[in-house]
Amino acid sequence: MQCMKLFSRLNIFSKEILKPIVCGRLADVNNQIQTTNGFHSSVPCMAWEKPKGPQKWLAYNKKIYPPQAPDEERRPAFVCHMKTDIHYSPKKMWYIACLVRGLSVEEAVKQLSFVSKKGALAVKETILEAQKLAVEMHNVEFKSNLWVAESFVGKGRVIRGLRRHARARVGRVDYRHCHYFVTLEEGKPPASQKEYYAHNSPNLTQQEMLDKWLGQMRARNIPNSL
Amino acid sequence: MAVMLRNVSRLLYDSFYTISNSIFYSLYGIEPRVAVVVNGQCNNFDLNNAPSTVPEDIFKTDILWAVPKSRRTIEKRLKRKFGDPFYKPKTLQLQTNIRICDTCGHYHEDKVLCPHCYAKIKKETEDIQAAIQAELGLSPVDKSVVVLYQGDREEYPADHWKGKRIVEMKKPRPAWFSKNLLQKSVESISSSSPANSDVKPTDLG
Repeated sequence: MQCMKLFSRLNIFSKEILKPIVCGRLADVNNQIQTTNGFHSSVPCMAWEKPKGPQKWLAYNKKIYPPQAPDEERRPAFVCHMKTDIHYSPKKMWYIACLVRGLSVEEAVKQLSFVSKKGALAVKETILEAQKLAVEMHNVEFKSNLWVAESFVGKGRVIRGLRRHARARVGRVDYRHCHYFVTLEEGKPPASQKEYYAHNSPNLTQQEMLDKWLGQMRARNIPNSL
Repeated sequence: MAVMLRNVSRLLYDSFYTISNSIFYSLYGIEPRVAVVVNGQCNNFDLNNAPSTVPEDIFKTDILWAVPKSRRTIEKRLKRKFGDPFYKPKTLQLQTNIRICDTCGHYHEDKVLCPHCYAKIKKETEDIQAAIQAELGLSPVDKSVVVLYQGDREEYPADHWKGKRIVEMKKPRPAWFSKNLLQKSVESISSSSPANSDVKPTDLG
């Protein structure tokens, strides 16, 4: 396992580091202490453990929207997917996540195949998995009719370690992990990445700015007033 | 070595004293105070009661040399993160040199042979090499070696293969491996035709 490989690199590891990794992944279903010849060979874990890692992202897939009116613009199918605890720095992964935003799925996978970075493989795998899920579970007709609507990174576990330097000096080593989140939406991708970002900061005309300001002023409310 | 260190420390001590005396007017009795970090603790102490110039003490007083002088501006921070779009962008750019291989349909970079096709050919080459090594071993190569697949031998009469060492592959010829790799495309000058004439390639498979 990934965690076990890291132990060989750590010079000092405490119980605090040991316990959550062992407990979180290897908890027995019946929560029984496994014994061999009378020795406890597994760490006793609690009956219920707080789930680790991001939980809310995949919940977006389960959300049920109300039925749409006939004249309303059709809401495109989407799938939210993620890959957690990638052994890669979130700061470095950010560049890869930014590359892929606003591209069609095919173009994204093609570009990622030629990015010489470790995180690119994880991102590519996530997108391909998401594409498969979209077709199987999220009512997407054509697997190539998808584009990357959202692509971002979150900070994962950081396992601290130590390394030695010359002259009895110690250096800290941080084994950083990250989570990668992606949303694939059905339909045509935006014309360019510039257009993709434009929806966040639209260039309003003078009249639009005025109307917006006026709306905000009128929406002010004194709470608990008559 | 010890003498040299002592002299250096005395030089430092003297230079501090002269500089601080020019800054702090001792007229008003303001004693120059210099903050020196000793093992992580910042102590204000008198230069008059300076630490001894014993070599070991020099290593104990950690004067921080490599320390930021002022806060990095947001412009500098953004430059480090994003680079400069004109000179050298740090964000990953879309690559425009990716092509599709006509043969297999996989992607590859512009000036590179399709890795998928190349891997296929490499594997076949390794099989041929293994067959040759198995057949010929370490015997000297005195005759030309011909590698034939299943069904190739029968195409020519027996005397065509005279004087050649044949290595037979135990599989049919791959569809992409043409038999006609050695045919010359230009005929040599003969008495009948004064100039070289182009030869139309045959048996391209």
